[in-house]
Amino acid sequence: MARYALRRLLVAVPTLLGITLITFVLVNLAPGDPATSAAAQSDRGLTPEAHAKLRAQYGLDRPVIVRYGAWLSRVVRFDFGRSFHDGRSVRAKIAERLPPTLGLAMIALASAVVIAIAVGGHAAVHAGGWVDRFAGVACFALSSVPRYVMGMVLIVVVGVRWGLLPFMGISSTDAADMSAPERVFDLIKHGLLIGVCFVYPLAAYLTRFVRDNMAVVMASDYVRAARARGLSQGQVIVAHALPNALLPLLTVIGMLLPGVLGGAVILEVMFSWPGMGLLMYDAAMQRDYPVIMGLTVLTAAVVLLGTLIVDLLYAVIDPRVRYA
Amino acid sequence: MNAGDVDMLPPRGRKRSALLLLPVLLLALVALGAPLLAWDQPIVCRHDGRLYFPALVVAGQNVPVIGGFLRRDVPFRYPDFVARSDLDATAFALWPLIRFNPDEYTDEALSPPSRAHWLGTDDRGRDVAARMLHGSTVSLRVGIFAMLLAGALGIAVGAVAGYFGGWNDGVLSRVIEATICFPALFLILAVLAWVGRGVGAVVVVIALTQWTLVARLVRAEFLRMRGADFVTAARSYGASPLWIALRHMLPGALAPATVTLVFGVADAILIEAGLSWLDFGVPAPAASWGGMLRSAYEQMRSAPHLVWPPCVAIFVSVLACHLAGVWLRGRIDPLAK
Repeated sequence: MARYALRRLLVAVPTLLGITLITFVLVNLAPGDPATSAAAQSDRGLTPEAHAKLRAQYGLDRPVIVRYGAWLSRVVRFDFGRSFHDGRSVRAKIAERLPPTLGLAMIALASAVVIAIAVGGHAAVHAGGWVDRFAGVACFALSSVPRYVMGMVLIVVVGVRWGLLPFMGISSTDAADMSAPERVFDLIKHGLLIGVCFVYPLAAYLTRFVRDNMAVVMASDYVRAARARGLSQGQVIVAHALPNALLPLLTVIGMLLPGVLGGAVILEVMFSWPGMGLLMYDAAMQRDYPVIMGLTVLTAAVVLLGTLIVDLLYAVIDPRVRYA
Repeated sequence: MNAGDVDMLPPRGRKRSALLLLPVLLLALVALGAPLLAWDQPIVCRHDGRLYFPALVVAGQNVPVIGGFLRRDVPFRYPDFVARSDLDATAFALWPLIRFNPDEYTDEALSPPSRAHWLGTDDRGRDVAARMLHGSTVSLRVGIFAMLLAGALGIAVGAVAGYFGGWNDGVLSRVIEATICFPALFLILAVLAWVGRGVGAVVVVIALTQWTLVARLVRAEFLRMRGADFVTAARSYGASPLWIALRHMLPGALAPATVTLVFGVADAILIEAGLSWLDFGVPAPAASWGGMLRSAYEQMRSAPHLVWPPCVAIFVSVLACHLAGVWLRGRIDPLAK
């Protein structure tokens, strides 16, 4: 098991290198560069000499492969360089964007799991009942609503027409003057609408998953045996059915994790949520190569690690799975 | 719990009514015949003693391949010819449901739904209902072509990896893994910078990010079938690897791949709309649901009525593809009841 994990980690290294190399070359060779976009922002025409000087200042006058080598030698020392846009270190820029995305993702995932176990579990125990039928239709319908469509509807109805909740940014402009509890309340209010957009597709997917698994378990021999021994419905569900139905849920959550952690570019742009997705969008628009590369390494590493953890979890959960 | 409950347990492989295909067929009809539903020229009309079919010709021009051979008739292709006023009002004319061109600017900008404009007008005074109908053409075209491309790529890579296994499989599996890890937004920007904006670029971008699903599926099917007796039998009478892969193994893998592709069309439609929302997608004058959603976002306070048409259109088409996928899944499953 440990050897398998180690081998997988070793295999992940060339994959990660390949991803960074391709991204680096693609982004750098694409027409237009940060020197041009910086010039466009200054509103003045740029002489060829000034452009060349800017390029040299950004280090863009060297061949791509040389630049990649230089970048790589710094990255292995965990130095991701400085942003072309505002000169701040890439590590600091990413670090300040992680909490909004991660916090939202974890809370959304936790709420979705709670909803899934409650609704999916109930639907499976009372298979064919009205909760089961309603949840089935609702899950199918909700899984056909794209998150950004839901976001637009929530913004226009709850945010604009009813004026109930704020939908831009993560805090009010006067948040600095608020007391601590007020600030927390303000944060929750700002996160609620975008949070719903994260929760409902996860909840719809996981509810179906829990329901189907749980229904199989409820029909199994050991549940029948538990009933035969005279256990109550509650004991059967809590002690026998749920644990077995929930084990596969762990692996599914592991599979969903990379996508959830990666944030959502469109949603974060739509709600001006200062997370990883918005940083990704801004970096792409500004051709901020160091930030683009830093984000690429981070997201790729998270996805690779996520799949590895899922594979290992299979072995931990199911003793029949062996890795050599 | 009785035995009857077990029947309805796995919802996967149940045979479903072919009625589930109805929404997707309707969607395809709307996409093909959008100019017959909304256009600023009649479907059929009599003009100067001759019959013309202006909107029908435009609909024909939208059809791939044939469209290139069609040309609009003389008075109707001139920009200064306005059919609504220039045609003789007493002459015979069969008009589309909505008498507006999706790209036509009118004087009333951001007007709410009215008798003239059923779903109102956008910031340039364009008829929202006409744009909503014509948006289906772009969405469905992108969805279908992107998935054809992704399917071809995915089947090729998956088949090679699964058939040969070993070293080939190792390398190709890393490629698949790398593609999944690749930040899609940066790939999109790189492709757009190279290819330039347009429907083609969107199709390529979606195909390049979505082919891995099919590839992994086909690879798994091929790995499963490698040691099967029918493959050994084919090999024993001297069939070439290509023949075995195409004739004996591909048919077995094609069915699940098709289901994935049908669901993939829904994903492609919503990726296209999302890209257009971010203003990376289909360029501006063309009617696309994502672009409509973007202008609704920008006008959310002054014209909230703009939100609903693109939202409903995207939801309905994604739902239609999902229903078709569910039907197909039950259809190809040999264990389905």
